[in-house]
Amino acid sequence: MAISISERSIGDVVILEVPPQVMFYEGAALLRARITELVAGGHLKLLLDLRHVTHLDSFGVGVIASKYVSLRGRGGDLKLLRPSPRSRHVLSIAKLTDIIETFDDEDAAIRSFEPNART
Amino acid sequence: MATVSHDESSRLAALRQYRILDTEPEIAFDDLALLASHICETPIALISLVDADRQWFKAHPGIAVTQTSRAVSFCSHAIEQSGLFIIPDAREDVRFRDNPFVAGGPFFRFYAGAPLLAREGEALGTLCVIDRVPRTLTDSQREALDALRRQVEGQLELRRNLHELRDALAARDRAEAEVATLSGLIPFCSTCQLDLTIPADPSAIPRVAEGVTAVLREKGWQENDVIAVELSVQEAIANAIRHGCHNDETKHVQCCLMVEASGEVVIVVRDPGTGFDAAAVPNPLTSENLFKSSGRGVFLINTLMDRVDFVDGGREVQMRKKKAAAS
Repeated sequence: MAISISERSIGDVVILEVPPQVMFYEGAALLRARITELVAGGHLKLLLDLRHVTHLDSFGVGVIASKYVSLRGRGGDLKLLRPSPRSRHVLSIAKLTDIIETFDDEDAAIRSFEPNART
Repeated sequence: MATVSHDESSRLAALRQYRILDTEPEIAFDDLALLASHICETPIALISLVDADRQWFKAHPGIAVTQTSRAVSFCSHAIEQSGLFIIPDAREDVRFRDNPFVAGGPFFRFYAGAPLLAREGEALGTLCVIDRVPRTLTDSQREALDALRRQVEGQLELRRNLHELRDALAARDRAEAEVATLSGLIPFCSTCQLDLTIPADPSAIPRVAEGVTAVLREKGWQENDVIAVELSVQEAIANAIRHGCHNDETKHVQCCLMVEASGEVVIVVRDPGTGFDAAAVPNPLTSENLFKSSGRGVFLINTLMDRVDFVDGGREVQMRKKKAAAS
């Protein structure tokens, strides 16, 4: 069965609900491709909802890191929503939780994209 | 002009299976061609294989040439027939009277060719006899030519079977060598709590990870440490599949786990690749590497485990972690 990433938008923020298998081994290539398409379409504010992601490995971390810096370079942003303790642990080892904003509350995450938002 | 069959690609594919084109002369084929020449009382006989643009002769008593263009080939016509193809006098045949081998030297007049069939039914070429005078064959000569045709086909099949046998033996040797490499893993494997060999398929990673976590939980390990070991095993196997096996599912990765008396767990992951220099892997936490898309697997393993050794040129990673004291 084909894996798909469900999406919805709130204002100009696109929320990507990442299925569990997408962040394991080279499944993250699907997420990378989708983000590339969104950026090409002018969507520069992305929120990755990781609540379903049970296994995040180094390949998935790499996709998050490279797309974060790519979006920031274009004046956009990438933020994380509801990573599991396990995913948060992996991200913290890679020092990405110090840099990439991470939220447990969706409303707070959306507000943080607003200009002059204070987080 | 010679005609080309509509299923030419499958015919050529069948011909390739015999690996006979451009091989050295062999006495078995030479003898059969010679017998055809003697029985049919012709000065020339050929065992001809019809390639894409040429006909090549495995045996050619009575004529020195070893191949000709397919465009002037009688055999290209013969392989289009279901049985013996006979041209009593090529000079009187509109299809061949302008053929350079008929109009000029060596002045072929008579041709009789029996198609050589592959086991799949494709016509590979012919056993043919040629004369420089118009004539025909007697019934007994036709029967003998057909019998010799079967003998040539038998020789071709024998050659193909030998090639297939050699290929199968080579494949078995490669598989055995890989198993020997893998089974030469770790001396302490006889006491392993877990010893799994998996194909280089990422879908097999969770099976190993689940095996590892089951052993550790049964030994009373704390959940955070179980997760750390599981992540390390996943990263090590993913690296072995991706870099050691290049995602080739015919290759295999071995993973062994042993829990020592001290409570320390030792996990070994081994692949059949060419290895790598772990010391040369860049630090992913430096500013120039922090946002790169790859290069974190080894770092994660080093961070999550107490001790990590890459041995045998990087083909084997040995990971150790002590069980935390009960709180």
